[in-house]
Amino acid sequence: MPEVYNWQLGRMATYVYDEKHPKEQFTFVFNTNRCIACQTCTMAHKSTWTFSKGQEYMWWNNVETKPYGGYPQFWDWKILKMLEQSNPGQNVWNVRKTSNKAIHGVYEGVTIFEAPAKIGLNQQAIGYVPTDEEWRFPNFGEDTAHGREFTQSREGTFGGDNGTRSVLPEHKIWFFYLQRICNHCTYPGCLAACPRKAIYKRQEDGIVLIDQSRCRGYKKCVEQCPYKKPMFRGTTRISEKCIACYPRIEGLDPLTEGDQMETRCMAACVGKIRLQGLVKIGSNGEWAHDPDNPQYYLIRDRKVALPLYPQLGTEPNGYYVPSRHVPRAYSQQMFGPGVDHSIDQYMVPDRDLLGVLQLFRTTQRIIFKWKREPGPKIFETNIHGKKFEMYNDTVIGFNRKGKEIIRVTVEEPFYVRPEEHPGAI
Amino acid sequence: MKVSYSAQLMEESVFRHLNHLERSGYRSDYDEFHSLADPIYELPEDDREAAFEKVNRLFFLERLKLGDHVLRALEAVGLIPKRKRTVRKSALVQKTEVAEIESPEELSEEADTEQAGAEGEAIESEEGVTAVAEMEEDDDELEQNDEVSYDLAREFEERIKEVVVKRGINKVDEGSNVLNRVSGNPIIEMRVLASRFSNPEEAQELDAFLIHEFMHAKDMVDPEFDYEDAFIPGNPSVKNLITARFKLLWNMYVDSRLARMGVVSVQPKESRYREFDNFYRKIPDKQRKGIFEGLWQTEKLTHEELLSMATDLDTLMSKYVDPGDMAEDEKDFIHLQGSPCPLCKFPTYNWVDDPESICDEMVIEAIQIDFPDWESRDGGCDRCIEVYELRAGVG
Repeated sequence: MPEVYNWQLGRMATYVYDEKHPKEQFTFVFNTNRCIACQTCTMAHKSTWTFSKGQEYMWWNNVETKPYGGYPQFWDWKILKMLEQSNPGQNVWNVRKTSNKAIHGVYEGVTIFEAPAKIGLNQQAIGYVPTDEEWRFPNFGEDTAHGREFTQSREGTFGGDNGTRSVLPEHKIWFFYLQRICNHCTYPGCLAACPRKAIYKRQEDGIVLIDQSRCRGYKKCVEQCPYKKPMFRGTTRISEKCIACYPRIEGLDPLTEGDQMETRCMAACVGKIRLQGLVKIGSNGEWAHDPDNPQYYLIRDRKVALPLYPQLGTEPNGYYVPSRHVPRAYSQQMFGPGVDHSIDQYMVPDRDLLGVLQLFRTTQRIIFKWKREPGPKIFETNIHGKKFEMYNDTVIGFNRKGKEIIRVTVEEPFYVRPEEHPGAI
Repeated sequence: MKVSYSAQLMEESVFRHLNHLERSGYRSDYDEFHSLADPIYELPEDDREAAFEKVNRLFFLERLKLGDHVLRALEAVGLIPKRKRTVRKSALVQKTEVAEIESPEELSEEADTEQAGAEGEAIESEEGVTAVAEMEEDDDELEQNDEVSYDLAREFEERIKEVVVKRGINKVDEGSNVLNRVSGNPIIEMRVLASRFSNPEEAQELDAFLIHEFMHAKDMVDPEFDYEDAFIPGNPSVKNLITARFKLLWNMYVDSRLARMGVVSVQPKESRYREFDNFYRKIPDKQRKGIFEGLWQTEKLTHEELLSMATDLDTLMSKYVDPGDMAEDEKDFIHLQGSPCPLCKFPTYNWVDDPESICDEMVIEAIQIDFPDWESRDGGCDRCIEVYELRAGVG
């Protein structure tokens, strides 16, 4: 089997096809600290793409509560268990081998593509087809926390073990929301699995699509996508998946007059947790150095945004800012060994990072470049022993052509109502 | 009797079974299926549904013989007489069976069927929408094991109009029911998860499930069992409790008969005992075991008897406990899980059996002010006892 370079794993890895990269790659960053699970993103995609017969159960975008939720149910628990069973105790990260080519260390376990050889399975990747029951109740486990019961200590205080309080930032009782769409992976499991070669990755933006005219409903994509985002439509007997609203990415929506737009789920986000963009891929297949691009800045430069379950080996292009309050071991299993660094950065952000974070959901247009103009200092405090200084900088976002498309300050402006109209809006 | 299968069940079962075979390295059926199914996508959309159903029916009934599980289950419980039929076992199952040592029961079952290396006999299907397997009548091939049971089975076969097997939505939805029972043209409806048909190596579980459920259905159409839709009086929690006990007792009745027939059911005797133990934990150990054994050995029970035993502990105990074994007043003070507390009247699973033995005298007096006829042996729920402890000032 061919070997491809997976920067998230920091090594060469097995894949079904030879290494090939698009000119640009669709990426997104979700800040899990901000999500309130309003599901507006879910309804945005549902009303745009999955409202027809046979699509009733489909949620190309879903927001699930961790640790107990999942759509389909237990999807991550099951694939991680399969991975562990194929290589017991050996699926570990070696952070001592961190380097420029392995920014989070090296994953020394097996991926979903390497596991079949270990267990003698004649498939492109390990996986399973969820049952009807598993596809049901996408909100199963919503808002269900994990943790020990509150116990009252002799002193009458409430806390966890023996009345000991949580040591912040980790909470003893916790849950968080995990928002998921298709990751439009660099090495997609669905694409590898399809016996009809009906799935392809677009050269212009890396969006992964299923050719509806070629698909014959084998459901191998459903089986071998570890994130379970391809979904079989019973009425047409053809599989479907998130298409990254590619007409919007292409700038075909008249609203933006040719400017490339973010997807519907990104644009609809009430909590301002989502930022989506396109990163340039160099001729060597690696991300072109471009710290002015907010996506590159968050993912590769500051390493605040981390991939989802990178150990699966598909090189997903969806990235997450981990939740500060979640126990680190859980987050590390989900986002890899970069969690501590990410949270340290996010918890006490410097001016640049704070500036980029303000760009989330300021515009529907894709921001290709950002810039910060300095402003006055307005606040200072200590956060977990670290000094935090806040400046009311102005952050500017630009479209592909370099035209300014958004301008926002770090501090939200105050509007003072004039005295002569106290009751007016 | 007709046996029919819903299109959704056939499609999902065939997919999962073929998927399992392909993942196990056995591709011939999988490839054949796709050679027939893939060209259907070229047809006009309106013509595809019927074409897919035809292919799924072919594989469900003939290629993979998945319908045979249902027919064998009907034979096992005596709803149809045993007949010879051709069997084509998948390569995966054959490989497994070669590795296993066959038990005498398996050998005798296999003697009833003819193993064919080639394709199985085609079953004529009459309807376009759902697959129908007509039972072949061939007197020369009939299994002459027992004239009495054969005649009984024929009787059931002739009385029941149809067996409809559908896809269950989830585990709770699975089960059997009898429709049109009163009208005299009963139809047995069986709902089963399609995923049960996935793995030919786990066929025993599917067979056990079908046999167990068909036995329930058989009871419902058996005039000796005398099934009737019953109204259970009382509030919802009382109804739920009686229904749960009734289900347990009926399941025991089904499984005990299957065990005597030498047929594997969904739960073995030990497992049923644990379930029984949980419901009737408050009955003294010796009597509890005796009741269970008595129930398990009972050959004939009616619907009314089962319901009566589920509703009233006295009925259950008087049937299986010798009068000398327990005094009447001892029986009165058995606090079954879910029975109502004599103080608050709510069903409780947390009984305080004899508060006098653990509480202050003042607590007992406080209760008896409100309930003069109450004795400590009557017990109470833990919440009521706690309330009276507080009232007595000792909590």
